Amino acid sequence: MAETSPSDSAARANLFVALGFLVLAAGAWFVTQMKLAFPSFLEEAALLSYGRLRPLAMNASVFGWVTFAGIGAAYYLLPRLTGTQLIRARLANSWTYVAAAVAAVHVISPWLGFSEGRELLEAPWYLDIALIVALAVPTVLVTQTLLRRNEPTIFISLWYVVAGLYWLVGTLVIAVIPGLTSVASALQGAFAWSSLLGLWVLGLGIGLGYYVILRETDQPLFSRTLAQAGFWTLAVAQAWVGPVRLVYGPTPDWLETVAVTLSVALFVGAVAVAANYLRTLEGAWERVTQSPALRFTLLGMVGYLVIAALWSISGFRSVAAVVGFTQWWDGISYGIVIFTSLAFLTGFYYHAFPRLLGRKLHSEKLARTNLRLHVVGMGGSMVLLLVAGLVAGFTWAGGAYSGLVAPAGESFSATTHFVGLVWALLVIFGLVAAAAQLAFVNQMFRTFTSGAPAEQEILVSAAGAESSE
Amino acid sequence: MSESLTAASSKTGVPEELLQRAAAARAEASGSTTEAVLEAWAGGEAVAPQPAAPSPQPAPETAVVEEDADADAVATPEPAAAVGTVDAIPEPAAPIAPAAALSRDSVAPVLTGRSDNPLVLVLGALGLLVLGALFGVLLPSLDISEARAAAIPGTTIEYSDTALEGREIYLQEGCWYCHTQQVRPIVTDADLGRVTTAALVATESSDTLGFQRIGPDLANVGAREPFNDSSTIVAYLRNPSAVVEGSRQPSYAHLSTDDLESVAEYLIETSEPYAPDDE
Repeated sequence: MAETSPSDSAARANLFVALGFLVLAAGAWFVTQMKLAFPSFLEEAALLSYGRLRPLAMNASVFGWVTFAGIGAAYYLLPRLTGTQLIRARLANSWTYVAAAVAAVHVISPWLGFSEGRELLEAPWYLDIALIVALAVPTVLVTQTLLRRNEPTIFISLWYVVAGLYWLVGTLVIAVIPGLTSVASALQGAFAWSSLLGLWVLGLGIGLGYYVILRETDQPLFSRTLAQAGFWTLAVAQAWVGPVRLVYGPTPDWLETVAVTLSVALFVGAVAVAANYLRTLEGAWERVTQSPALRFTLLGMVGYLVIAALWSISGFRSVAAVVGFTQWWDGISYGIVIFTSLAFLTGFYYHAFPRLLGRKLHSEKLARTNLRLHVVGMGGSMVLLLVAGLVAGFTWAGGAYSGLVAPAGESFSATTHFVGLVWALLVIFGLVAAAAQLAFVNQMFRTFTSGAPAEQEILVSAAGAESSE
Repeated sequence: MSESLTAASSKTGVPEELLQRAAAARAEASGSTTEAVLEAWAGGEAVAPQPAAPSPQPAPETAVVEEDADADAVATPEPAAAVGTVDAIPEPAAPIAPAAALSRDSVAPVLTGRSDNPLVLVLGALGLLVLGALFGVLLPSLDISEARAAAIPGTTIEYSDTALEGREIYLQEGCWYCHTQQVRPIVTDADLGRVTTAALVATESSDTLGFQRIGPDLANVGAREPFNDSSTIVAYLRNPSAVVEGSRQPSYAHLSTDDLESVAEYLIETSEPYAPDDE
């Protein structure tokens, strides 16, 4: 392994930690999909019940995999885009392991039965606070570095990454405000769910996508204004659109209406980002065939468009009457966290990891296999969850209108026959999805252990005398 | 050479060996000499990229350029980080795919466009988040507090200690991942019993409202046959298909009898004081 700068060491440590969480998440996602199709599978142990594994999968993905990949990406991008070294890079490096330990406890606590309810906020409040502190340190270091930058312009990728860190910490702070009960607490949960998935998980991917496209194609950004429009659209709308999932529930009607209206803006923002990506790629499309990083980034862009479109229409009351409370929303969550975000982050890893390690990518063939498995496994799983939602929604509505089947009590099982077939298919696609994630981790691991030596970026601060410590 | 190398290494915190190779790469890219690059770095100056001389090697290019048609875009080649490219081992490396991608990293990113204020970015992003929380969480909570005050007389559920224990287990086991406890005023939910309103659940823990029905809604489960009996619920949770043929509910036989009875008591009490005949 070649020597590297302290800031790149910190980036590398975070990216490695993230991979560990990804392995955990991949396993948990697959077993949860197994449990849907075969509910009696491994039912003897509480730790293997759906209600315990589902939060493990989601929390490991969001607070483990995405969060540490995001921090690593921030440390990687800052010296390359600001013209200055990361402030206190050695502290950043050491703190990675402290934060990872806190995040690990936070992630597994609901799995062990310490759950307060509400998706992504299951962990006890004191662990939320510990996680906030753990994440505040890299956020401060990133901010300090940004304030001492030598480039006057902040590239759009850093907008997303830096704002994303603040959104992550800020959302957790708002989510632990005590004293809210009843529907207010449900709204607090919807706010946190929407902000964490949209502003942090998705926003991080969008920002890294910009970086990968520009670096891999050597093309100038098509429009900074359009990029900012996409950023601020997401920033304005995303924190409001959580209640879309609760339409017709006991939440205030006016809030649902605002959420539905603003959710349309999500699609507008996605179109702005996609247009910017594609116009930037003009004249460099041949690079897409050469670069796995670009291919994954474009896959993430497609996922972003699809998810934004689905979210935009899901709140309309005519649509919500069918898809509300079904697995349609599970499909959207999965689509954000696994299909889209993982595609963006995989693209970033394919770009950055060899440069950090000074090694060639282990295998081009494995990269192509990884992409195919990702499309089939994760794309298929997302589609099947959406289909399961549609089937369930129409079955409930059909039963209610005809009066033949009521989605309650003993007759509920009569509404799950066809959904059961979809869940059986989900096992197959879930297996492929898990294989995709393991193929990606294997690619990175093999690049680390046995990749052929290659060029490595060595960053030197020329304009200032910033100490790395 | 050694003095400037030592000085630059001290200044930048980068090991001398790496710095020398980085400087050599930088010099080649900028059309300067290694010594000049090292002296510049030792003095805290940047070396601006120069057009590369004709060479069989691809000329280094600006790596990241932002263009803004609306802005008075002015190229700002400095200040910039000097980015040297070295081989991990001395022997020439075989091309890495994409080969061009790595060689492009040999120059610093140079951005063009307006100068940004990071505080505007951070405060703007955080401000919008807080605004969303104020209007999306806190303001509605005031409405809901009014709803609490106006809670329909006689509908407030006074849970027994056993039921409260059951609710803890309900949360702990993640039952709410598959079951909602909110009935909507739409045809689909017509057979599910009393509609859930903010006033009705004003004194409830919201954590049990849920958001997804992989299984049936449980808001009024205790008011429906055959689950209006605690022992039936316990038997169902132990062996679901023995009570309801074709049920996809997983068994919770791993829970103790006391725990199962607590959950059953909680589910029955959530339906009080409602009964289907009330409608």
